[in-house]
Amino acid sequence: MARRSRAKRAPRPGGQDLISTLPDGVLQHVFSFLPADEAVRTSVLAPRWLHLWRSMGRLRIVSAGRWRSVDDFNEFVDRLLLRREPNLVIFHRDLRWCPTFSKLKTLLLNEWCVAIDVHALVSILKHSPVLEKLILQLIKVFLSKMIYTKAIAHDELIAVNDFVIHY
Amino acid sequence: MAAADSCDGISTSGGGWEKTVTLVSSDDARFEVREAAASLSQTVRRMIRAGGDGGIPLPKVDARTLSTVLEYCNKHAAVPAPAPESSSAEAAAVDLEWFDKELMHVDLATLCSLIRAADYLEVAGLLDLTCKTVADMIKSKTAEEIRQMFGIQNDFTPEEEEQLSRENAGVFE
Repeated sequence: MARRSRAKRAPRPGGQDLISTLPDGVLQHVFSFLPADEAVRTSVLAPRWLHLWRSMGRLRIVSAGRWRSVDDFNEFVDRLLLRREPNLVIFHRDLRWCPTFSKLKTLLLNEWCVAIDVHALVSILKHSPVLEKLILQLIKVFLSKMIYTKAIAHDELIAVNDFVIHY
Repeated sequence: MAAADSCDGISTSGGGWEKTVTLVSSDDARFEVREAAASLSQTVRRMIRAGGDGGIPLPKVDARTLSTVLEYCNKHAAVPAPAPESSSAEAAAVDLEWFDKELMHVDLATLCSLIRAADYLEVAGLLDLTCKTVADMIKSKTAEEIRQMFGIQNDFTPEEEEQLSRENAGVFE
């Protein structure tokens, strides 16, 4: 059976580009397993890939080891969220004018969103009407803040079905 | 399930108690499979409920691909549900993980066929597995490496390229 032999993943000589012919939703599902910055980077592959990441239902924002500094990472997050909704603007950490993430269903975040206070996170939650799953990957020091946020998320803001905190 | 009993594609297996259904691939190959396994496909599950004669036609999946999909379904549907955190649950999880890993040792064309089939048949676990496999192939590679791996033609015009690099300044290293 073919699958028992070791994978040969080079395209066949003169072969067609099979990956690009997959439906948008499937490619976006592939991206959902990539860190957000790698998902965005696929936009440079070819015109077919240019806008796919913008309408992803799931965004995996992770910083561990991927950025030289917190500032670099914060800048990326700001630009990322800005580009998903190009008519709306986010001003740095002040998210009082936070855009509505109308398609965002799963959000995975870590420390940056609660590094100063929980205001940024609460704003994102308030503006994510269809969010179903929120995963926070935190180091222990932020946990007390999160218990507070979890209470807000459950009682006042929105019905997040699945609220997970890893630490 | 009363509705399922009316479906001609269902008979009882050798054990006399487990229901099976017959699935028919695009190239007319017939697969008799346990209903519990076939029902991992939401598409098939709906067709079982709707009933029908002479097996369930799956015109978008060829025999070779369907055989692999069913191998996945049989394995995953067979798993009993032991108490979580018990040692047998852990062993079953390790076994499944190994099975999944082996199943993904395929060439790119086969992987794409499996993705399309999992998408059409709505086998969520297999769609996750196959898409994650592609994601792992993409991970940590440069754009040029990804293009070469998949045979993607970079058909941006020079103007588009320029605009792209302008827009992306500061986003990528």
